This record gives sequence, C-alpha cells and structure tokens, in this order.
Amino acid sequence: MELSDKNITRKLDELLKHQDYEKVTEDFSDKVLSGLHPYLADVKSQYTPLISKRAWILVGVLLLILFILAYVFPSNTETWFDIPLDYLSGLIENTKSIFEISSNLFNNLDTSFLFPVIIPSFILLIIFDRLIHFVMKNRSFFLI
Amino acid sequence: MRHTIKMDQKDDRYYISKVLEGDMQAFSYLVDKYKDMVFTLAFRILKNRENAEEVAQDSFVKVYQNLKKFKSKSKFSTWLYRIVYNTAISRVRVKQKPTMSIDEQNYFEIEDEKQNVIKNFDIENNKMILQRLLNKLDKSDRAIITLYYLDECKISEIAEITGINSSNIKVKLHRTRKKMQEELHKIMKNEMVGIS
Repeated sequence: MELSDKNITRKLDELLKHQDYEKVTEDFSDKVLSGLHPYLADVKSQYTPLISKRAWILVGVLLLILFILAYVFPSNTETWFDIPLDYLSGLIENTKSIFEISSNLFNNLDTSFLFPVIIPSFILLIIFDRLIHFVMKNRSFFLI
Repeated sequence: MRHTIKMDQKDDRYYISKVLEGDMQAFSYLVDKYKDMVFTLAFRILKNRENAEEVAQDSFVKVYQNLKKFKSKSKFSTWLYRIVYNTAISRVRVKQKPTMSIDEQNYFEIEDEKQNVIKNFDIENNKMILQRLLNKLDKSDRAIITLYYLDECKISEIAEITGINSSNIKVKLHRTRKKMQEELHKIMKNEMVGIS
C-alpha cells in the first residue's frame, strides 16, 4: 500500500463523508421534556384574563363610535335607539315577502332607514371586521 | 440520516408555531429530529458523553425558553447549533469533568492491544480513526469539521453558529484538513509497519 498524498486525501474524505451521528441515550427526549416542566408550570400559573384590558378599550372605542354615529345620522324626530323596534317589524315583513317571492319587496322598504341605520352599520361592520382581523393577527400583543 | 434534517427545514417553522401555541408534542418532534446532531456537536467539543448529554439537554431547554425570540431570519438548525456551540464552549471554560470519555478509554485500550484494531479500515475502525484525528484538534475546529462535513452546513451558517467570520472559517477548514491529513499519515504508516 503506497502512502501517497492522494491516498491520504482519499482516505480522509472517506472518513469525513461517512462519519455518523453519535447516539444519545434512549430516555434523552424524556429527560429534556421533564426538564421543561418547571417552565410549563410557570406558564400555567400565570393568570391570563379572557378579555384583556386592551380588548376592553377596543370595545369601549367601538361603543363610542356607535354613539357618535347615532348622533351624526339621526332620524327626523326620533333618536336612533327608538328606531330599531319599528324597523325590526318592517324587516320581518320584508323577510316574509322574500319567502313569498313578493314583487313589491323593495316598495316596503323605507328609504329613511338607509342613512341612520344601514350605512353606519355597514361601516361599523367593516371596521369591526378589520379590528378583529388585526387583533387575531397580533394575539400575543393583546394578551400581554 | 443527514438528509432528513436537510429535507424539511420548512417544517420546522410549522412545529415552532405549534410549540408557541403550547403544543409539547411539537417540541418533542423537534427534539427527536435534532437530538443526535446536537449531541454529536456537544460531544465533539467536550469529548465526554456525560457532559455532552447535559449540554444537549440544557440547550434544548434554552431553545424552549427563547423560542419566542427566534425570528426565522436564519434556519432553526443554525440558531439551535449556535446555542449548543456556545453552551458547550462555556462548559469547557467553566468545568470539564475529569472522567475519561468512553472513546478515550477505547482509544487507550486500542493502544494497549498494540493497535490491532486499526489494521483493517472497516466501519468501526474508521470511526475510531476519525475519533483519534478529531482528538488532535482544537475544540472549535472539531465543531467546524462536524458542522461542515456531518451536517453539511454552509460556510455562512458555520460563521453564524461559531461567531467566526466566513473567511476565517475557510482558513480553519483548510488548516484542519491539513492537520488531519498529517495525523492520518502517521496512523496509516504505523499500520503498514504493523503489517510488515
């Protein structure tokens, strides 16, 4: 066997390329996981409110917007809070007419209902949807 | 085996997100996936199985504690190996148990048996020879060789793990290879003398 540099290099490449991982003991994973128990207990013992302070602030802001919109778009004589019951019965009637495939469905709608309720509700729905999306995306921030 | 680690790097992000949601099974998966490489890296630096296993366990605990800080800028394995490397190097500095490692014990037994074991270059003997070569290296060089050849890490990844810049890693790899070649030459020469 000739001990040329080429042979040595080839042998070294063989040794390095065919080396294998050292094996841990069989219970290694169990030991690691049991080592984590103190940290898991810490996490569990921390009180996390179901609705965080930030979420309450968010709800407050939403309510505020609701109040402002109610006064920005008032109906002719009534406040916005008096409206829903009247229009609810109107909506029920309209729903009935949908099932009856009534041709005069749109005639039953009161156009004064459009500005004070539907548009603000639609805007609020969009805002709320975006906020929920933002909150869900940044859950960790809101739960601190 | 190394291919299983290379293949599914993307999976790591999925399991990390699961761990962050409190799924311990996901962490168990990550431990099982990387435990051998983590242990090998620690063992190559410390040259002692007991200490290496402790370091490997400590490293996984550190990973769990700091997983929120992992930003996915680099691969999870790179981040993990950096923790292992630093933990092992710190352990070498603080305390090294005086007990002789199993491989060192084996090595001396081999010497006592007049190097009969290294007469044939079969798989087991190759492992022993490699161990001898690695024992002649500095701890950081052993880590670099392990990361480069065993886990097939890129130079840039090794630089990130060890904190040594890429050009120095290249130089170190070259010098280390040369040193190993010289040592291997001695071993093979001894073998030839033994045969004749």
